[in-house]
Amino acid sequence: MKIVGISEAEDVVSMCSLISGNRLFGIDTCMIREVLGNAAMNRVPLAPAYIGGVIAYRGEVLTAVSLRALLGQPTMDGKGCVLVLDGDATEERFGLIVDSVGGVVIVERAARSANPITLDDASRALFSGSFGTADGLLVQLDPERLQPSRIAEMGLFRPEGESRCAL
Amino acid sequence: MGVVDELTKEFLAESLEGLDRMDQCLTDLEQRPNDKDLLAEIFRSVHTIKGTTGFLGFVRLERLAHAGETLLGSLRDGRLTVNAELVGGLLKLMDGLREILRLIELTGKEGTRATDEDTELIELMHHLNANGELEGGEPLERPVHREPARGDYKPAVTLAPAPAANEKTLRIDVDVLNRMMNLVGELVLTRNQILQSHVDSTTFQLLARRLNSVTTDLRETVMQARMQPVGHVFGKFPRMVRDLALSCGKSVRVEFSGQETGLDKSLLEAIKDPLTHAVRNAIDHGIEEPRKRALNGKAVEGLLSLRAYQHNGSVVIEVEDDGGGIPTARVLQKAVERGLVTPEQAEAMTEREALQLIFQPGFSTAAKLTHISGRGVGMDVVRANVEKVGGTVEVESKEGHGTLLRLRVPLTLAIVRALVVSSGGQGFCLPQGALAELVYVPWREAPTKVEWIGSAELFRLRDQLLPMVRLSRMLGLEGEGIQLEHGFYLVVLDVEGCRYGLVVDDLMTPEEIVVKPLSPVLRDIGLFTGATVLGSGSLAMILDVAAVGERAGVRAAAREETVAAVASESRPVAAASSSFLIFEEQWSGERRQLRALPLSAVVRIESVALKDVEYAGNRPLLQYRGDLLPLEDRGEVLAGLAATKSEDTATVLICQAPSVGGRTPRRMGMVVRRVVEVAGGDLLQSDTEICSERLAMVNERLTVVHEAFASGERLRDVA
Repeated sequence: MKIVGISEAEDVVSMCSLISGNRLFGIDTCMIREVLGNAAMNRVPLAPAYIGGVIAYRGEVLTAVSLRALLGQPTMDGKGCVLVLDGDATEERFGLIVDSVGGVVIVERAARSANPITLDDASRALFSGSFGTADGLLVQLDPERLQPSRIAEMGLFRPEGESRCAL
Repeated sequence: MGVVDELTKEFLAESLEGLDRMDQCLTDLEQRPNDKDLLAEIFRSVHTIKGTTGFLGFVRLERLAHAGETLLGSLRDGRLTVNAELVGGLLKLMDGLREILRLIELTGKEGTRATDEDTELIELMHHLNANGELEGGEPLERPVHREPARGDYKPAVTLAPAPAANEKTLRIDVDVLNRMMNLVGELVLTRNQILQSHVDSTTFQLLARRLNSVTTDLRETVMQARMQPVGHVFGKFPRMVRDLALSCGKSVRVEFSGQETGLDKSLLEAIKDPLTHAVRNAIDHGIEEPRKRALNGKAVEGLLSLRAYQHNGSVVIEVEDDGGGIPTARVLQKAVERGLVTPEQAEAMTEREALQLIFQPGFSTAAKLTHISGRGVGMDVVRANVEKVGGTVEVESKEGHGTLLRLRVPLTLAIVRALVVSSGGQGFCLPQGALAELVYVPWREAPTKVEWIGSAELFRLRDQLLPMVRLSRMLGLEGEGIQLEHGFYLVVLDVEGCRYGLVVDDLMTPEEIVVKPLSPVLRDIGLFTGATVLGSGSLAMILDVAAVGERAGVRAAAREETVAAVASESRPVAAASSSFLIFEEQWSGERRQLRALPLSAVVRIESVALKDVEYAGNRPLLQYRGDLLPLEDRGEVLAGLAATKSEDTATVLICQAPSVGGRTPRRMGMVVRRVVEVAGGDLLQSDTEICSERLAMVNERLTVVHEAFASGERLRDVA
């Protein structure tokens, strides 16, 4: 999707801001295919905790990752928003469940600051830096790192299913 | 596949296809050495490859193709005659070409390693060519100074899976593509109209209907485009059969029919391996050596037939040989030795049941066993592969006359029939194929029917203990579900020879579901094969019934039990004491005569809508699970029901006679007035002087046993 009137210069990035818990995050708008509001989530039994469920999207079944679960925030009541993201070449599309989606924020690429070294492992694996904006610190998320299979590989997020399987 | 550009990719796909076709042409050529057209076709193919390679700059390939072309040229001009050695050499050439093509596909280059194999092959070509010219067209008798060409085929090369280029590309008729485009255009127009209309407008209904028809047409067209003729898979068999037969020292002729039968591309890929396996088995173990065949009064040349045809929404592929058949006695003997069945069980098994033993995993793993027993190399793998795509495998064999392996696969994988069940408040789909029966268990009956052994729950179903698996507990859904007041449902599933009952809260609708693949993370859970969108719009996971059984531990334990069950089922006819299904057959008549059927002969009791009963001539027929079932209505129940109009369904017993002989026993339906009960009883010795019918003492009362099943004989042919 192109946004008319905004220069697509190398040095600025347009970020879609999103909210999870009460923290502000951003994802490069080029990487977002679609935002689904009020999407009905279907939980999958025995799935790892970070999988929020599956949703139907244009003839596909999308696996949706819950950002809240990843961040260790309490699960939200009611319906959230689902961002449809493209994975890298090998992985299919997936969804990211967030509380709500803000708007498009233009930030300068140069203004990005790296993750602080004091950040815990799990967060460091997910965040790819942050930008200072008028609304506060916007933490950049990288869709590639949020891919369900990637998260599974990292092993930092203990699958909940395991303990249940034993039953 | 980034290394290869579009042009090369196309060339590769085309050339490989050409080579596959040539394999067949060459084997044909061996049969009909004087067929000029065939020769011309082979020549053309090699020539095309040579021409294109020169153009694309593959020097190595060109040189090899050139050598082949020269040889084929001499052949075409009549300077050489066809013989086995020549064909062998040419087949080797094909393998050489194929190998280079594969190398190009992998690396993008034909490989600079100027290995001697090329030179060797080219030399062989020259040699064959020169040989022929020396002898002036006389058939070649003298072997070439190196090893005879036929000796050094590597079966590994011929049997290697088809190259990736063939699997990723698909040839589509331009007409089909045009039709698709038209339909998409239609779809866009319809959408425009819908967007411009209001829900309450009068045209909305019309538009919805139009959308429906466009979607249906589009679906059909796309499915059609995915259909590939079965001949694509058959095509590689003549070559394989030739090589195998040579290496086994047998002579085998292959016959095909129904090559044009269409099958979904993905399914075609899926059955390729099982089919290859079956063909290999047939030649290796089925067809006897020429001398033995001659001794048995058969034609020296063995016959292998591959047939494909469509039947009731599925595609049937048959592999039949006229070889020695499967010696059931030895199968049983080995099964007992392997501890798969006890000697007593083996004793009671019918021939058909014994044949099923070759599909047992334990049967194939022992190499020695398969060698002696004749068949069964990895037959469990064949069955597993076919069942994975929702198909079935049957085997029929007559000792001394041959074996028939029948694969039945659905037309498409994408859409399957499934039963939607609910458990723990969520919907799940169970593929219809695995479903054996449904049992409703009200709470008040649960204590008497459910038994415990240790922590395992068992359900007493017609005097057999069935392991129970609670779906909600396995999926960790317990507690989320609603408390059920009335009872629960037991879905009896039958997968890969083991049965278990899946406990679910409720049954919903049977639906035709569209299978959607899951992401790897969810596939790793291991219990779901996919997901689907239900008619209600919600998503439901499709359960992998085999995996559910396995995780619950049913599989290993159940194997012995199922074997035991099979054995006991077959016993009633032989043994005097057994269970009978008692029913009333006559519609009219004051004296309600009770009749009985051995329970083992009854597969199911169905309630059939009268409108589903069809007639051919005066004979009632029922379409039942993809089979045409003849209905027997001796009590004239159908007429009675139609006359009174009191009910619109009839009770039909789906029966299957215990078979003797190689053929699948025919199923049939028996229309009855009312099923009374199941009871134990004794079959009385028949005494034709008292009564021409077979009698049994059931519940201390004399009951007539239905004649077709009274003796161990085959069910008489109703149709």
